[in-house]
Amino acid sequence: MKNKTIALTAALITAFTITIISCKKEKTTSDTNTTETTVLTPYEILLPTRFPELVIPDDNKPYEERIQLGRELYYDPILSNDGRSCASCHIQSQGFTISEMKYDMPVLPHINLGWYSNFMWDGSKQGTLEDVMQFETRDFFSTDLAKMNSSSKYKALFKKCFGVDNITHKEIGYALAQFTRTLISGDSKYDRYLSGAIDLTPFEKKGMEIFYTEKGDCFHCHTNVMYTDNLFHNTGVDSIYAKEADKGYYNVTKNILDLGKFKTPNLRNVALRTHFMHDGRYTSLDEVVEFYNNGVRKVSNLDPIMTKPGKINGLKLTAEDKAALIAFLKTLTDTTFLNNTALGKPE
Amino acid sequence: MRVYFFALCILIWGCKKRETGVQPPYNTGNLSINITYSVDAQPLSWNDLVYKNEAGNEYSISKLQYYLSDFRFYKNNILLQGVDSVFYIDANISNTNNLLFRNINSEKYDSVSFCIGVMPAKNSIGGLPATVDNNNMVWPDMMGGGYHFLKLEGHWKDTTGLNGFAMHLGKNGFQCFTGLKCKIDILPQSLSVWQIKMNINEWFRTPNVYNFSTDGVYTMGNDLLMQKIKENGVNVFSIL
Ligand code: HEC
Ligand code: HEC
Repeated sequence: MKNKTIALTAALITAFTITIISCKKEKTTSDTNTTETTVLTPYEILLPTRFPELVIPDDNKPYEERIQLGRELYYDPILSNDGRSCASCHIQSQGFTISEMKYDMPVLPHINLGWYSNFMWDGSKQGTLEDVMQFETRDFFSTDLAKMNSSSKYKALFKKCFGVDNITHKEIGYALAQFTRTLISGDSKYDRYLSGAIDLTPFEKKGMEIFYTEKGDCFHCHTNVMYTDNLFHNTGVDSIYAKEADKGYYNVTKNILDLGKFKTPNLRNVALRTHFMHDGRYTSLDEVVEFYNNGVRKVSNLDPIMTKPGKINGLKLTAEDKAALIAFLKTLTDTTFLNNTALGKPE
Repeated sequence: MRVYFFALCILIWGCKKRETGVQPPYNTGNLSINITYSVDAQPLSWNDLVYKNEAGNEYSISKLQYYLSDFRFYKNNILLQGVDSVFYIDANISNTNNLLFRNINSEKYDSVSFCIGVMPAKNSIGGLPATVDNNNMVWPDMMGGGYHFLKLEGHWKDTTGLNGFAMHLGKNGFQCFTGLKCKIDILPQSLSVWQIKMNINEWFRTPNVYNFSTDGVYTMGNDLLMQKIKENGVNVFSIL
């Protein structure tokens, strides 16, 4: 009898526990890291006209304090062991990249990264912004955690923002992701034209027409408003892949069909750059456009979009067409973004 | 025993609040339409140069993305239910190939019609939810505006080597309406599954034999070619 009562009581307790556990998900507090003592301020990331929705991981929803912490880190050489910060190579006034060629490949700009799931020219990093940012601090910068943990400033900030007593690469990556997700460029001349605020010149419109019709056919990869599909294509830049780096996505997948494929670069603020393509081989937009017009190499895995009839013999653009196309590319320069003090080095 | 019952009640009661919104009507069920692919008798294998179309072109497939919309369910030629949803499908992403319809009236349907593409009401940029997938399917305003209904791309062997082809459909007027006989029995509060198959070679077969070498490899911006592909689209689906 006694045993039975115990069994029934146990069953009852179990039932209660299951009820509580199974109903726990109901609580909508998306943030599991907040400590009871601090309340973080939720931040709404505003999207420019026509931008697709931003998918943000549940465990790193935007908070003002975390974004500010990410910003501190982005500009702070403490993350590296050689005096560099992220901003040494990702310079705001140049579109969060370096326009000149300082390394063996152009620095990729930090623009609208929140929409990406493929990172680096050859796609060597995939996943969320949180994933790639953890790579940046852990592997690229080899951030010294002892140094971070002995900084009273960062100890306090990480405690406040993530509720941790011990800073790891994870929280650093999460904070960097918070900040870089706010690096949104969506106020270029073109964006203002889209929202109806201003008009483009007839010449710019002519370029836009070439870009967005089969005449230039740029939009299939440099897509509507985003100016990148964030996918890999062989655009016929090479026919033999002399350097390892020319093999592109192949270096990641080892699939021969991926030879020479690169991630479509974002064309926002492209006019500020001085070196183009994965190895910076072209040094002006004229050269890039001339490549599309006449220089595409016929390779067996050339992207189908590049092989339409008109393109086998080049796009057949006139000098004026080419100039118009470049004039249109220049409307993608976003001075609001380049000068936004909220994205600059903290005081 | 009574205590067990009591415990169970707590369990149920405790979770009741979780159900939000209205209860689905008891005379409806859910339907899942699952799509598979073939090229005549061959299974779909990406980037494999192993297919031959009606015109004799040897080809491979690297991309197949499209929309299905305007599903209508019939019995004895009477339209019993229409569904407003638009489904984005990437043949290479398996979960997009299971289309889920909730709360379909419980009936024995004998035919289904639908549209390959986006119905005119939603076929303008911004007409579909702003997802990255939909954004990548945008059909520029300068070319008519809206979304690509179909992107079927790959490579084919011509006399000089491998070449690309891109069969793109879009622009109002080029939606492809089609239908299938079926035996779909929607039971109340249960999930029915209906399997259909797209035979990719049908895009190049009836009524218009499509030849990459004489017709061209690129349909976008060419109404004549899009019309051919649109007409062939009527026959691409069959029941499994
Ligand atoms: C020495 C210069 C340099 C510094 C410093 C630097 N980067 Fe970069 N960054 C690059 C280069 C070059 C690339 C392109 C690399 C590639 O494609 O393989 C790049 C690419 C990236 C990308 C991928 C962007 C895309 O579009 O795929 C991310 C993300 C990134 N960096 C984040 C950071 C962060 C965060 C820091 C600081 C922790 C940092 N970088 C510091 C040079 C630098
Ligand atoms: C099939 C996809 C595709 C199409 C179509 C396409 N691009 Fe590109 N674009 C790319 C890829 C991929 C790269 C990078 C190639 C590399 O690094 O070797 C690139 C690079 C560029 C760059 C250099 C950007 C930088 O930061 O280095 C510019 C500018 C550009 N494209 C403009 C255009 C224009 C203008 C058109 C239309 C005439 C066009 N693209 C059509 C995929 C495409």
